[in-house]
Amino acid sequence: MGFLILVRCQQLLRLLRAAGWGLLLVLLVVTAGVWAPGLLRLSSVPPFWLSGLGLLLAGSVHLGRSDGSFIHQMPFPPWQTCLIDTALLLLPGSLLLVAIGNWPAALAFFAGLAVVVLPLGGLSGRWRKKARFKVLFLPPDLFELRSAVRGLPVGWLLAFLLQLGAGWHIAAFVGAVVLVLVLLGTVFEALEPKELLPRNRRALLRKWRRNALALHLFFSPAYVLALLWQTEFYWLILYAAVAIECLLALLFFYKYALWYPGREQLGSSVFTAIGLLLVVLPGGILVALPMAVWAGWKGLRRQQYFTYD
Amino acid sequence: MLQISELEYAYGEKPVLRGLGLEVAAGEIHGILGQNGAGKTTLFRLLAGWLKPHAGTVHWQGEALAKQQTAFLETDPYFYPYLSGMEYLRLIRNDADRIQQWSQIFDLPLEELAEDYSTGMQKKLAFLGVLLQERPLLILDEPFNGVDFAGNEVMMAVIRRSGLLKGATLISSHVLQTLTHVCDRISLLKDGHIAHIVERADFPALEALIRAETTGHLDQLFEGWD
Repeated sequence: MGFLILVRCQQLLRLLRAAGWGLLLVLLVVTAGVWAPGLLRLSSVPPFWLSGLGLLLAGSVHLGRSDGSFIHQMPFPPWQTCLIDTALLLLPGSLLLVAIGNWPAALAFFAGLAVVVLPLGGLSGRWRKKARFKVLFLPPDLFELRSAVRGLPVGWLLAFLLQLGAGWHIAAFVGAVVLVLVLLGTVFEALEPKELLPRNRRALLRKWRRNALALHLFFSPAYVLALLWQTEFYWLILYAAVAIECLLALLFFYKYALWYPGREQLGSSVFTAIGLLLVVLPGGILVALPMAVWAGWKGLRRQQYFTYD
Repeated sequence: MLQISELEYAYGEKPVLRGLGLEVAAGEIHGILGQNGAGKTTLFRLLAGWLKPHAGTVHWQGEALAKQQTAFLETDPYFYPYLSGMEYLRLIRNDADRIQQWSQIFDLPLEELAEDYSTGMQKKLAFLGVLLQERPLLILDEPFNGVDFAGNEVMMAVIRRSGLLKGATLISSHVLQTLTHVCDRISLLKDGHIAHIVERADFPALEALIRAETTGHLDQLFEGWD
């Protein structure tokens, strides 16, 4: 176990070295005006929000893992490996919270450890294409949603059940939104076969809107219940709808822009995590929205040059 | 002895294994031969515990086979980014002496990052990882893919000696000759079950039969071309 921690630290150091320490430092200084106020605000954020953030971050990484086959070869049970990896993932954020004096939030951030009980993303993704059961009401051409629901039925069921509590307490609504945002990251993992790539710009846009419609329909009980019983939080309900739209656009176009024949999985959990963070953090949507527009432009541009053999 | 009985598995409506039964003795090297999509990899994933069978049982030495008793070499093994070959092996078994022993069979640059290895080198590294686990049931799915001729010879020699570990070895390959070189028996997987089991003495006849079945029509095609 000690060696696993050591190896993870080595990997991180090598990653940072490959990215370039100098560049990262320059970026850190240049963007200080953006992140410093947010950091200061974190010192007074209630633990509840940080526990949600921890869950979100750890969940998106855990569910997007593709190393399940290797983890089964290791000499200890998979959940122990996942526990250590998740703890290491959350540790820097937690230390930061300690440094700015928000002790309770630092502890709450570790709520993300709970995700280790969920199925490993890599394993479910590997066999996602093999249908285990049909998904009612989802048209066959919405392959991405169908495969995601097949891969993580418990997650989607939980999200559905959680949103039914939206009329009782706004926390249920927020929890359901967070879960849906995490699950969204798994939707576009498997994009084979290549016929799934819409053949023209209009078809691509239509597919995007059909995915969005299906997601909003899935989430409609929460919208209705929250609008009826939590009227004072109308801004939050609007924000949730925009956040879902924003992340969907980001993921949809980004993944389709990256796709090429033979690539079975498009694992980009880090990108998903960044997108989620930007969407959930106050003001972050202003960064995520241009990113989504950029991804959309890239995806549509790719349509122009993509040739079918 | 490995005892597989009435094993069934389906992807949705499509059955892949239909009541598959097989017995492999301890120390035996058993080849699984089948066309693409016959269900070889599915069978291996079931044995490795990655999939749950819809019906049937798998026993090793009289008791239900546990995940910890199998070492599975996938067709495309997974490698972490920014991880050296040595670290990869130490994650599987943190025992410097055993790694030193096993790593002598291939000349691999273990201090370099595994992601920078060629396909064949990665396969050799994953093969070492599987051996290091020293589990009783060795499952090798297309172990020779992408490996150079020297590496292939070494792998075959190691597999032939794997019987010394007192476990059983199950192996699949696209190339029939690699199976006939190393296996004690070969099973033909067809229509979701074991259609035939061929003993070592009958391997030449098996090769001739498969050659006739698969290339017989070519003789007609090329007739009169000379």
